[in-house]
This record gives sequence, C-alpha cells and structure tokens, in this order.
Amino acid sequence: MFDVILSEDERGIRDEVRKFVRDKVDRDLILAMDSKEKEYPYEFIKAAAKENLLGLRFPKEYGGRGLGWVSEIVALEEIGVLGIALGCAYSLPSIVGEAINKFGTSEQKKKYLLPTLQGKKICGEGLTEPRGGSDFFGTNTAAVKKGNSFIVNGEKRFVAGGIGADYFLVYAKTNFEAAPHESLSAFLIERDMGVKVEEEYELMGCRGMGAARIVMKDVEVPEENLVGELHDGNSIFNAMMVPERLTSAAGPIGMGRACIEIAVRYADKREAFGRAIKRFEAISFKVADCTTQLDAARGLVYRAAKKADTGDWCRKEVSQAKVFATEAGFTAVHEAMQILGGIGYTDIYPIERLYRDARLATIWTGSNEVQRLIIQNEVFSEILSEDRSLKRDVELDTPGSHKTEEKVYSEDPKKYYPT
Amino acid sequence: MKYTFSKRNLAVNFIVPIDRTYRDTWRMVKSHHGHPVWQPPDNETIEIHGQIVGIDFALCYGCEKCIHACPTHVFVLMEGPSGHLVVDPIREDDCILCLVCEIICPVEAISIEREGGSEDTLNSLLNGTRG
Repeated sequence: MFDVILSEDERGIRDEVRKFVRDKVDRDLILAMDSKEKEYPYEFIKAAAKENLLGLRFPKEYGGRGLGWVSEIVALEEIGVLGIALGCAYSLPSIVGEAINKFGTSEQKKKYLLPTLQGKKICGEGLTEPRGGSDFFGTNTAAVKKGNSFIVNGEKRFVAGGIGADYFLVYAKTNFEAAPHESLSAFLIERDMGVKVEEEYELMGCRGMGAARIVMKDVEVPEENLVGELHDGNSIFNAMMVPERLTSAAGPIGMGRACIEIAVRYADKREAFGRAIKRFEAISFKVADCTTQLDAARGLVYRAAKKADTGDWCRKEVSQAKVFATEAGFTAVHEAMQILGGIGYTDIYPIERLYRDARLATIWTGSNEVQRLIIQNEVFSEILSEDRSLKRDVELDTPGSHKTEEKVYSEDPKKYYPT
Repeated sequence: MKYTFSKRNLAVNFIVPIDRTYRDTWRMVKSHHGHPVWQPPDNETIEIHGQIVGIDFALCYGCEKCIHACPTHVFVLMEGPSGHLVVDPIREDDCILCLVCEIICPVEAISIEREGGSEDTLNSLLNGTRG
C-alpha cells in the first residue's frame, strides 16, 4: 500500500530499520524500561548508532547519511512498534540535531552533533516549564550575559533524558524588553555545568526515558554554547518543531500498525458463536476503519515530509500530520484492545503497554489542541490572502447570489435604538 | 419569610476567594521573612502574605494541603495574627508557578502571581516570524 509512493532507496531504509528492530533490540530492554528498572536506553542508542541509523538526514561528516525527511519518517514508523520511549530516544538526536545542524557553529557540530549521532553523547531538550509547555513563548527561564558567559536560572519539566542525557538544548529569555518571539535564545547546556534533577516523574507510559524536572541555578554557560543568533530562539524553535512533530506523528503509526496486526491475527483465529470473530462486522469494520486511518495518516506524514525536504514553511502540513497520525495511532491501539477483549487488557499482549504509550502522543510536542490552533491560523491566513482570480467563484453559482443585502456579516447593535 | 440579608453577607470575608488584584489594589504594610504583607484599603485586620505566592490569612485555616503538594517547599505552618494556624510562603522565591497549591487549596486562599502578556505569547506562537 505505502510502497507505491516510496522510492527504492526509501524502501531499502524501511527494510533495514525493520531488520534492526527485529534483531538488535533486546526484548528484556523493553520490559525493563516499562517496569521502571531502567533510566535511559543507552544500549539502544549505541546499537542504532552502530548501524548508522541516527539522524539519517544530517550530513555524513557529522554522522548522518544525508538522506531526506521521507527516509526518517519511514524509519520512525518501524521504530514506533517498539513503543513511544524508544521512539523518543531515536527521535531526540533528530530534534536537537536540527538546531545544531541548521544554526550551530562548526565547533558545536563537531562537539555535540557528531558524538550524538555516533551514540557517544546523549542529548535532551528543555522546552516545557512547570508553568506550561504549549505556551512556549512565555518561557520564564532566563539567561543573563556576564563576561564571556551567560548565567542561566530556571526549570524545565518533562525533560526526556532529564536523567541520562549529557547535554540539553535549552531555551531561555535573554531580552527582557522585546516581544515574546524576539526575547528567547537557545543554548547547549551540559549536565556537568550544574544542571540538577529535582523530580523524576512516574509516568503512565513512555517509561525508561528518565523524564524529569531539571533545575538550573546560576549555571554558567560559555557564550560559545549559544545556538544561532542572540534573541532568535524563535527561528530555532520553528525549525526544531518540524522534526519534533514529524517524529511524533510517525511513531504512533507504527504503534497502531503493530496492534492492528496483532488484532487481525487474533480475530482470524478467535471464535465466538461458532465462527471466527473476524466474520462479525463489528470486528472487521474496526480493522477496515483503523487501517484506512493509518494509511491516511501515512499520506499526511509523507506529504509533510516531502514539503519539509523543500525547506519551505511547512508548519500547517506538519501540524496536520501530528494531529491526525497521533489520533489515528491511538485509535488503532484502542480498537485493537477492543477486538482482543479482556486478554488485550493484560500483559499477555503488548497492547496495554502500547496503549499507555500512544496516549502520550496526542499530548506532547505541542498538544493536539495547540496543533489545531496552529492549523486554523495557517488556513485562515492562507485562504484570506490567496489570489481568488485563479479560481471559479463558486459563491455565485446560486439563484440568490445577487441578493447582496441578504449577505449580512454584522449589524450596528444600536440600529433600532430610539433616536 | 423574608430575609433582610443572606448568610453569605454574614460570612463574606471567609467564603469569597482571595482578592487576586491585591498586588495592585491593596496596601503593602510591612515585610515578613522577606515577603511583603498586604492589607485592603478599608481594613487593618485582614492580611495577605507574599508577592509571588499570596496567601489570605483570613481564609487560610492551616489544613497544610499546600505544604504537602508544593514540589519546592515554599510553605511553612505558623500561628497567624488572629491566633489560628496559617501557612506562610517563606520560600516564595523557590515557586515554580506550577499552580498546584492554588488548585488544591480548599478555600481558594492562594493566588500565584501571573506573568503578563499571555495574548502576546499566543500571538508569538501563531504568528511569530517565519525564521
């Protein structure tokens, strides 16, 4: 189904990652992470790095393969079947790497990007604060210039790799007078500079990624660790949100697919009322609907990936893909559990774990509510600014179209007031 | 039967939430453990303690829910001016604005100082320059 729109090379990447997922990821790692016995899947990152699978789209000199975005989302769907935590571990080099690759100095690329893609350094990102995540530009963390350094004070919450990462890409306020989108800057802050973990969160799913609240109190960050221009965190944020949300979109397709495959095999064998349950439309239509939604999600993610590759502004496409794919993925996991019934709710099958995992996807990396805000904003500005002369004016294809007095948009509330 | 006033009028000081405008409309009368103490313009018996974390001592009855909930240990229990137990925001500088205390307080005695410009930050998210 999806094969028809992939190039031969992209199908090759898919098969390579599929094989890696099948052979190189120990089942015990997944179980240890979910049972809270692991704080970070170092061995997974090292294994992926060994196969040169991290940050596929980055230049070869910094450890990538110089491939396109489509290759990454194809890889992510395959990694996605392992659950959201390993998907996150796999995505972080792509997300943090975007900031360094696009805005970093060559020293920063050598010092941070290369070892990250080689699996020698673990990266994390600090965006969400206790006061909120989606309201990103309200960031309270502050960095004040002092000599050749910045003194950083603040807290970041729900940091994947808060326990485990060697360094963090952190946004902080540097201009205290300007508009919010002109007031933030991005920094590479190493744990050893004084980042402290104050809270390790117990999570419903996505376990084993060391999600924590990190605190920076008078942390001295050398000015060479500023990423991009001072006060231009906005540009980096907008660039980083492409991998952040595209990876968030592609992973749940894998989770949904894995669960539906289990459900299809189950419904084929499981009997009720004297026949296989797949013979009941209540069951088989769930399979039809979920696989259609997953394919539609692939289409949206694929289109967003293609547009991201052009370098054009692709926020609408990326947000649409994130919303649709995370909801399609979660629905597929949910319906798969329904098809299995009670046994799907136990740890005999992995659906309950993937259910807990997939639930997060609609929340993180900009909640789906915020994605919808972004989408409508882009759509309104797109439609209201388009050149209408190129299109037929369908509004006029009606017998009453000339009655312009009936096309009322507003009225003076004092219209009938006594004069 | 006709009431000349409701019970609400009798107990008004104790059932309405903390006045969230106090930082602009109340008088700062003194300092206590490094945080300001405020009084309303027309009353010298009611106090709110704190700038970032404000606690209305007329409402607080020392149930300690905020003490247990606060992740950064902002609050301590003490005897208030009228002799009953209250919580005092003595480490309000450590507040991370998570608002859990505001949510958990059964009498809405707590007000956390809000950052201004939430409309601006929304506009930045939606319309910020395309980089």
